[in-house]
Amino acid sequence: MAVSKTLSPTAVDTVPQPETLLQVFWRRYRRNTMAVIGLVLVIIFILIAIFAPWIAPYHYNDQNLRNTWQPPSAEHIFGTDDLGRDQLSRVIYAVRTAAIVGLGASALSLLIGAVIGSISGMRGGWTDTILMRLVEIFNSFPAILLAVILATNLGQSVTTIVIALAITGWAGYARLIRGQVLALKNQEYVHAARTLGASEQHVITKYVLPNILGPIAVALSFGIPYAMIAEAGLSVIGVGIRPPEPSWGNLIQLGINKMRGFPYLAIWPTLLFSLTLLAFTWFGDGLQEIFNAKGER
Amino acid sequence: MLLNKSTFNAHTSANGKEPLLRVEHVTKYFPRGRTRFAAVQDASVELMPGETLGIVGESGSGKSTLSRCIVRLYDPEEGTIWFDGINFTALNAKALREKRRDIQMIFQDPLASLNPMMTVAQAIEDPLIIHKVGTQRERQRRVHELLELVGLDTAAANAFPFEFSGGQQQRIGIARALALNPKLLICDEPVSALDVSIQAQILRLLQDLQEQLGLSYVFISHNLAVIEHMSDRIAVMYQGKVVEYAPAEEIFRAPKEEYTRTLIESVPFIPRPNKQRAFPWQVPA
Amino acid sequence: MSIPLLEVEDVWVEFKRPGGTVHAVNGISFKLEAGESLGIVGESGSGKSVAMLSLLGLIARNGRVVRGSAKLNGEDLLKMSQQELREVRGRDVGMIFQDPMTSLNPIMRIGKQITESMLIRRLYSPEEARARGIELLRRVGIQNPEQRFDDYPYQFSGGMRQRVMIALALALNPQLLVADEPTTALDVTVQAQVLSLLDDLRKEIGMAMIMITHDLGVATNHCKRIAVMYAGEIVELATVEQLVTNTAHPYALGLMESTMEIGHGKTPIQPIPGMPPSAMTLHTGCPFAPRCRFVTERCRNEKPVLRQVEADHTVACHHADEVMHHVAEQVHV
Repeated sequence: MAVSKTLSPTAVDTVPQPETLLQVFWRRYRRNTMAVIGLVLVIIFILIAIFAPWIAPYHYNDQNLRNTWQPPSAEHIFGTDDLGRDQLSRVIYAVRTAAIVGLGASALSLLIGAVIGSISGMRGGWTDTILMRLVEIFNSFPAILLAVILATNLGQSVTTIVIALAITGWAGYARLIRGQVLALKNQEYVHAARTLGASEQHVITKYVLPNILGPIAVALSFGIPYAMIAEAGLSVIGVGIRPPEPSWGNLIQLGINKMRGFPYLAIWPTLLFSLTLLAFTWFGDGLQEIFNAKGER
Repeated sequence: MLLNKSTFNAHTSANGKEPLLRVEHVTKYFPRGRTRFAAVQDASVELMPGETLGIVGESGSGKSTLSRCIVRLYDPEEGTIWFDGINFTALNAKALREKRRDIQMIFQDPLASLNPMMTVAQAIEDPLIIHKVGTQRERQRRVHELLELVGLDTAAANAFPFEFSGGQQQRIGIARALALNPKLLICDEPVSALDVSIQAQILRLLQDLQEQLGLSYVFISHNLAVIEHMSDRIAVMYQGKVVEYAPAEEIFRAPKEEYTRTLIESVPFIPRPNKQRAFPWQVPA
Repeated sequence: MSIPLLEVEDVWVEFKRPGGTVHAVNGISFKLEAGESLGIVGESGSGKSVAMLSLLGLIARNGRVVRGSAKLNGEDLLKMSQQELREVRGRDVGMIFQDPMTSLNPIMRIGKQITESMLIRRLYSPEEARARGIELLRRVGIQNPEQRFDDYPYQFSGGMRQRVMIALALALNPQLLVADEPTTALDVTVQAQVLSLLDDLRKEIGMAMIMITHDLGVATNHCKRIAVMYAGEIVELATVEQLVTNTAHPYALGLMESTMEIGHGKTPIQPIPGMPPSAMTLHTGCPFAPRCRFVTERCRNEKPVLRQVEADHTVACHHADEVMHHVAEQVHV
């Protein structure tokens, strides 16, 4: 182009080799060994959850009353319970339930929290004040009590438990996102977006939210185990996922009663539940590190 | 969509003699403790199409604040800004967003002014997306055109801002600002954060672009020598007020204000044996 | 002829980074006599700051001086322990840095900071130290030094803080002052005052000075000699007059041409094309070759060494004569 020729005294010849965002993140993530282990376990967890019906040797409610209270054997690797149901299969299906509850509840919480938090942060003024009082109300209400009330009134299906947990959990996300939005609101690139003529909505979706993905991803990866623990807590009281549909919580609850005589029912779900929680925690730690390395390689 | 001077001349105000920008008695307050202070007080300046208005001052002079008022990142408490014949300060949010196509800005910290999560191509394309200009293919062609215009290799398009040097980042900022063919470009200390030789490159780029595209600039800097190279008219600011406002040659030949003279005298001058540095207003001893 | 105050010979400094080695300083040598002033001029990445900081033991832990010597009054700084270097800093060498905001301890009264080095070494009694401190503040132009002696840094403006830094640096009457971009963060009017203060003080005390800066205008007005650095090397070393009238290195020439000065009006600027090289690469030829208008094939393959072109004027360029000729022609035009 004729134009660029006249500008050649100022042209720049060297330009960096572009890396995709994913490549940059992976390079940073790789440095933390525990995080990589966590990631592998999380992937396994998700795969089990998706393919549960194909992996599990039996259905979770396959009863065989002639085969009750069996310790681990070749046929039933985790043993059977009081109704002769294969424990391995029940654990596998519990992983699926946990995935739905954990991911579902935290995703829904995040959605509600993100909408409220970002509007509150961007608008400021009265909108901010009112919404933050709402957040405080939900935060100060004892979560377990609220969850119990919701669960007993909405029913104990997976869907309703997810909704109940989402309603108790959104306030934390709203606070986090509002804080992040406030911090970013005065960044120069947000000002630049305004001078370009961007609407408020465009600024939030294109300039603010993508830059708080880091803290959001980290919060989510810690929120998922939190949701799972909350469900387990509900199950212990008896208002979690209603059996026979298995969840970490109700499997452990069933097993605790018989701990002294027959430990197998409680041990496997407990161990694997703990491993799941650890995996997500390590994963979250890894995420935290990659987002903290701002602007450097 | 090709950029050239005739496209721009078609844009300039209907009456060629009218100022493109008129800042009238603008005052901007900021809170301080229980009261407030005026970061900019009763500032009035003008800019003719195709020219550069240089605003020079030290820290606390209010020059940055004034530039942000012009582009309406801040809204002044008093005064009016006329742009292209329209009362710019009175525009409502929607009309403002529309008119923003014609006034763009480049910033002092080039990295901070770019969205870390957008590639170079996305950043430059965004103004076109915001104002719904062209099809996707046309926009991408335009992005390439702009990259070439500012002297960047088009291979840079898919990289992220942090991978570039300061000078390159500023070029990206300039490309983004020019995407919509603006009439006026506000340059807020665009080279202060850059190395000397890169400063020269970016300023030369801005000079060439003004020549090629018929752009008008409001150029803010604390560096008098830079201001002299870029400006037709100069406004000297001190503690929020415009203390002197005159054509560039006049400012340097016969400055009226004491402060302006002190500013000029303070700038270090490379001593050359045959050229004695003489200030026309100093009486020889 | 006594030995020079500072004799730096063939110093190389490297930093180890995850991505590779950064060659920050690649063999610099210069001499500084007592009372002399030298300006080290370069842009970021030239190694100018690292060069001096490394001699005084002030660089990060991943950096080290891999070769060379730096004799201060005959004793090699690079062979000293951290303890010995601490003695040198403050007593023989005073330092002022760019950012007065972060160079002073924000929670310590400035009087205490000034007298600290005196008291630790038990050179003066507390009363004497205080008196000296107040006198120093007066010397650097702080009004009401008796009251201000007990103030905190936040109570001073940027320019005043820099003056306090100068007072701190002078507390023990050092023979050498190292100023690293001392006025870059200051307003231009304040800069002029601080630089003028430095000039006066140096004349009074007879102190030598090394000023590190990117500003040719500042360096040429307040230093007697200039060392121009590029890519970790000194490419030209000359008196101010020689540098300005007989520029011999293409980079120095480019810097002079692209330095904006008052009196040119709205004229097109002449930049040096291209970008400074990454400090991670070691060059076989001249590091400036990609950007040089005098470049030939020889430049790309053979690295130029510093050679003398006039008395006290050395340059690292194969085509220095051509450059000087070019400059001479400009003057007559």
